Amino acid sequence: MTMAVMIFSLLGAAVLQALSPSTPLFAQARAPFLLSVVIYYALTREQNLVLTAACLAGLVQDSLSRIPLGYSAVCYCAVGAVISWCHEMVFNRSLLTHLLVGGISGVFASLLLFGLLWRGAVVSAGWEIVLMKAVGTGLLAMITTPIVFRLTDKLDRFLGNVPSEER
Amino acid sequence: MREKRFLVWIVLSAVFLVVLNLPLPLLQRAKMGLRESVAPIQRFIVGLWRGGASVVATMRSGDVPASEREKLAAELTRLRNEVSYLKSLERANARLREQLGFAERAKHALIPCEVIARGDISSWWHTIRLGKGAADGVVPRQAAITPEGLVGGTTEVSRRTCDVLLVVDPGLKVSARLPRVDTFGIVRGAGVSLRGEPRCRIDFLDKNADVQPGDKVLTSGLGGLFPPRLLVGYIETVCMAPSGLYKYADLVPAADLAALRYVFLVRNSPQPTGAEEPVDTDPSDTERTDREPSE
Repeated sequence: MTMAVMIFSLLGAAVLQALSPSTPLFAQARAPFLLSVVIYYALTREQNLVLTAACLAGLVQDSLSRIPLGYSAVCYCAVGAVISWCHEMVFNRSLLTHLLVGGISGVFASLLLFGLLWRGAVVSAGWEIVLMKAVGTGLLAMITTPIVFRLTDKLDRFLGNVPSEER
Repeated sequence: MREKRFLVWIVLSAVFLVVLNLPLPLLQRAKMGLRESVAPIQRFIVGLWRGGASVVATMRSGDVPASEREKLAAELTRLRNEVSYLKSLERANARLREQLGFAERAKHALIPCEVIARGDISSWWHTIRLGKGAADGVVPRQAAITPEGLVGGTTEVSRRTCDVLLVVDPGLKVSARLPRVDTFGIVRGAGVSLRGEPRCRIDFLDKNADVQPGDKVLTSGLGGLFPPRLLVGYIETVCMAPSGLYKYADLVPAADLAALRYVFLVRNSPQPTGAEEPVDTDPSDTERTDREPSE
């Protein structure tokens, strides 16, 4: 059931991300729903699930965009690794944690992805565009992460995926 | 437990190293396979979205059902394009009869496509996804047009879908001509302004050319990607490059990129020698427009 919830969340997040309007103010940044799903798993689950979610989220994003296959998965795995390394040191169900982790992860994932794309000569953009996009993604992640966290958490609880001591 | 975790990371790093260094055709095939499996969901969502929108529209205005209006709008777009195509045929015919008496010409067929997704999910590119792919004769590097003008060029093509890189994307470059002053330049995208207006720029214009705001910019046909005489947009402001060697200008795209719903792809076919270009999105014979480009 855990995998079913993960796949359902990722597909839903991909659809929402594709349908969400881009923000001209932040260099067309889009709401990073897929990243938020990865953050949810990184904050609440063990490492193998985090990596699975990160890889699947990356594959979905890459297959739906012009990004070469594997680039987003690398970024999401890096984000997932960092968060799961420190998730025992934070209040992982607090709204403040979700806001902060979402914001920082959005900026970090954007910059890392740009680094990979730039290294592969796949995209060219001025530093101001990259900075605006990173900041925009961070701000949007601060909105999407608490929402995705609550929805996925509710679904996991409803289906009995969350261990009883966490209920 | 710690060893197991370490092993997971080692294996994952190895997998990534392999994936990132796989040959491009193999990666492309895997990616297209994944995209094909997601395309039906995208189609379903778009259908659902449009269905909902049409129900709301029908409830708001009682006379003509929204589905009927949709059909009429699609029909109008198709007919406009056909009229534009036939006009260019007529002009070409007259010229050829005048010069040679008779000429056999090749046709550029158009592939009508529906837009199934707007914008790149990662937001690093300005793209649209169309609901037709290799199975319908779409190949990479085909021009995408609407009756208003050039939209962009196809990039990645899967069996049932294709992506079009829009003219506002900095990654797309178009060889262009300003017919009024008969000078050439390179159009490239400049993204979208903070107010959401699509922007383009044309570089390397002759520094002595009398380029004016409102001048039409057409494709030149050089480079082979875009057929000639497709309307790209209108000049907005003209400036001299800091080096003083050429002029550049801001451009307003002719096609309404924010409201794309149906797009036509130009099938690549050989251009007949001396013949008028069959695909012509230039709506009038005048080479400069009086309309304000920013409107």
